Amino acid sequence: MEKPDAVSSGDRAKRVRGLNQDFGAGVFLILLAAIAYLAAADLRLTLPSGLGPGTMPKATAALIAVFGLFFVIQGLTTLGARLESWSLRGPIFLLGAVVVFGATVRTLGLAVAGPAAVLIASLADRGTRLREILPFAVLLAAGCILLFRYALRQPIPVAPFWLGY
Amino acid sequence: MFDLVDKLALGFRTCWDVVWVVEPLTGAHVPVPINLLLCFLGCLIGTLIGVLPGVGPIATIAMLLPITYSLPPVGALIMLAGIYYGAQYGGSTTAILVNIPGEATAVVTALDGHQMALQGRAGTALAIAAIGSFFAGTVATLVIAALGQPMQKLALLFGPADYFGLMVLGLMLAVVLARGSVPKAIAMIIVGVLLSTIGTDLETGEERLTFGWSEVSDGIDFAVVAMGIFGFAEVLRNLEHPEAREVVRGRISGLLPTREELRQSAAPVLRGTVIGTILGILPGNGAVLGPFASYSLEKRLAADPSRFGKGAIEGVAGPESANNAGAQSAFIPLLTLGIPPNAVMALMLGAMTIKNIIPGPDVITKNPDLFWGMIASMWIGNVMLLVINLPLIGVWIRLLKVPYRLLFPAIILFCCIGIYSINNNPMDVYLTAGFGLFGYALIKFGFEATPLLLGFVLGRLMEEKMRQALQMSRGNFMTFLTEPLSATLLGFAVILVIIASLPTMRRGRHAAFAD
Amino acid sequence: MFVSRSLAGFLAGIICLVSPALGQGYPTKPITVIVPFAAGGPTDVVARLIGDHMGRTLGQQIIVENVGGAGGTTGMTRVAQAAPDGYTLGVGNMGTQSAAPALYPNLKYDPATSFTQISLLNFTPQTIVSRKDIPATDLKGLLAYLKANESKITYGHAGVGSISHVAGTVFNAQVGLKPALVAYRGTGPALQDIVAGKIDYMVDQSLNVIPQIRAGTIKAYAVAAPERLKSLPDVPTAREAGLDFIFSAWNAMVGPKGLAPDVVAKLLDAVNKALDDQTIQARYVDLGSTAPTGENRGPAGLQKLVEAEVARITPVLKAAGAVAQ
Repeated sequence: MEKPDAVSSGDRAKRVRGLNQDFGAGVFLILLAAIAYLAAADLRLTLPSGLGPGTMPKATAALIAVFGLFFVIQGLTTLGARLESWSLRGPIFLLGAVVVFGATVRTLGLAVAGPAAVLIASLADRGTRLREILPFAVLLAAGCILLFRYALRQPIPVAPFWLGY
Repeated sequence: MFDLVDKLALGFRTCWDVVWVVEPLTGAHVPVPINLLLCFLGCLIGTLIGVLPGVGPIATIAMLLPITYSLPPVGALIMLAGIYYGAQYGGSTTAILVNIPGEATAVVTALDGHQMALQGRAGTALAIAAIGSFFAGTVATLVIAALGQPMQKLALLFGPADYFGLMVLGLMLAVVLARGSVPKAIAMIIVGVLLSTIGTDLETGEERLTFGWSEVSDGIDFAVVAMGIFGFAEVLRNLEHPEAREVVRGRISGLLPTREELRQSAAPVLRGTVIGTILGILPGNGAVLGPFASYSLEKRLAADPSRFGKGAIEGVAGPESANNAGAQSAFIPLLTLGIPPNAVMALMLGAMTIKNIIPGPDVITKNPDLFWGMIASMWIGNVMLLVINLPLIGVWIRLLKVPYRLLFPAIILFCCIGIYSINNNPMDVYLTAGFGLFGYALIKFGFEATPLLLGFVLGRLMEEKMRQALQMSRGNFMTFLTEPLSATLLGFAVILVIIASLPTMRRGRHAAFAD
Repeated sequence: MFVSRSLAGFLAGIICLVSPALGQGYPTKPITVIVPFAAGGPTDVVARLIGDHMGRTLGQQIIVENVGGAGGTTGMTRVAQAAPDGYTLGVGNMGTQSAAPALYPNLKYDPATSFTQISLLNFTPQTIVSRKDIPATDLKGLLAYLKANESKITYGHAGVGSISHVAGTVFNAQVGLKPALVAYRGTGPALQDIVAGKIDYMVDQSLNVIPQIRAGTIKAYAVAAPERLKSLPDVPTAREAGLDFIFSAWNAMVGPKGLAPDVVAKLLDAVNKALDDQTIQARYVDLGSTAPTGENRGPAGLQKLVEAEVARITPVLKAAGAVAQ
């Protein structure tokens, strides 16, 4: 069985015209292009030696905007997949775990950042059980410490800074 | 001819080199085939580390490089080479099993390879990748041994303008990677190219699109983009469709490919090998184009192209062979010229330098045991990979049976550690999280990540070569048409576009009416 | 008596506990040396060579941490901002310690004031090379050829801020040449193109070009050093060839500002022992490097060098309009 592919989801009954997936895709692209173009505004398009640093960013941004427009129009005029809803739980806990890891690894070491990341990430799934994930997190972090710090001799901090490296 | 056999014999003898070690218990002198042992260790460690999601071949080699400092020179290099192939294969393993490509060359493997895994055919996918890689490695080794130097001379003919033509051709091929909407795939390629411009301009030193963050002033690491857009977003997608992820992972069919599947893979492996070997010697990472070119070729040649993207075995056999052939032939510029063609070879160069071997065009004559020893070890390494990995397939399959709710936090942790260890910089980790969100948005809007990764990898090379060609010609655009190779390749690209768009337009109208 | 002895013992114990903070008994744990470039590069090689030897002298492991990015300034910024306890040091090069102020207006450190200088580690002189088909046999001939073909010549470099870029800018300014500059991503691709004959000349670190020169794939005209290199005995110095051009890439060890003097003394001692070691000297020859001697060693020598290089390079880079941000 194939995973429900985002691109081919929805049977005919679920396809809509108007504010659908294509429309959203188009708006997304236009926003992206606008941000990129603004960021590249100061870059020169040409240099005496040929193309300047601004050519590629601005050209691609312009092309992306064109595609964005295309999708907006396509969304408004043809049937397309319905716009999917965004879950909050997944991104917040999963990406939050990653951010927490980044924030704590240098100051508190892998011994803290590792289990923290695993535990927070596990909250992204409703099926998580604490008595399963807690020992798993500790074991996993211990394994990583042994592997990365001792076996591979990576300069990754292991313990909180007040305990030493 | 006999000269070649002679040299290969020297190489194998070097590999079989023994070191007499005093056995601690009995005091007897025991011969230890040190180079073979190091090759095996390298392949094993490389595979195991390369399998970790978040750790690609470059990161693996960079991590393990210091371990080789205390080893004798030839042995150290053989071990490093083993780590390299092992990491490559480990990266392919991750791409197939969890859809997280650790390196640009594994992106294509993930396409059909992961689909095969979802259908319970993970063992087959992994096995065919191993077998294809072995065959490609064997052929590539022979080619290097016999033709290494003449091939290098050919490669030197490639100037920036010609390279640019090749990249444009490569981008055209990328459209073939699209599984769904072609316009969305093209848009993704362009977004990838845009992302590749982030960083410092080589020519003027100006920062582009960096918003003042010095972390991205050298450009965004491939691993960051791949982990974020592929890895994290993939996990997020799985979390939203719990029905799909467990059921499929439970069903496992036979571990080895059937005769029919082997037959189907034979020609793609051959073609992939040729493509990979040729592209691998091109300066500046031509090898990265190999798997994409192979995939496109197989899709075009296949009787039923619609199978691609849904678990076609040719989509794994061809690219994996191209991948491995390219990885081996990437050694040619390093061993024949002393100039590393990509980041991995640059690390090898560093390792050699530390070992007091300064590689240059005369390494072949000055250090023949090194040169031929390394070539022989390439083949032995391939054998070892096969020996190590085929049994490991069973282990990985069993690992997949771990409930997803435990598996995915582990994946996240490994990704975090892997990303952090690239530059020991937490900002890279934050950036990856940002790309995770970006990737999530892409999924929600119906975009695919693979064309974006390709655009990202090729875009940077393409712009670099284009600007270099223009710098050399002092701004004269005609240089792309006056350089013969460049003109030819651009011509191919144009023809490809024409061929591709004609049937699409007709199909497009049909599809619109059919719905 | 018993009481005073145990009191003395107690006091001695206290002193031992606090002595790491006093620099006595330093080092008591591994020292991290930050290399602001990727593993395997010239700076990394030198850092590991010297660090390995120093570790044996000091009795503690030296851990090299590669923190790449922004031409090496990311790593050096981290060194400048680290705690001055002697357990975080850095190895920078000419780029990060002299060219950076001119190239990066938002630089977060000042090479002359933000660090405790420890010592210069090596000099690697630049070599002037060209593709092998240029019909010139010496430096004067090369310059004549380049001047005659000025509208067509190309100079390759490894990116703005790289040694070949900075050295090239200074060289071209000195001899009055205005070639088309071709920017590459690193030395490898640039070398490849000069071997292939697609660019005309480069001024690059000896380490990179020696193998090619020896094999005859490129031509060398002069070494920008006061004396000939042992590894290139047939190549004259620039001065011998008629041009007063001295340019070396160099690597130096520094620490964050405010390191205790006895920590610096211990480190300097270990560096000196490493630089005097025969094996390392032999390795240096192979790397096309020379070890600093006499007054070039030590904090004072390094400070003088940093200030002199900044003063020399900054106006040239600014005039050429080369700015990395």
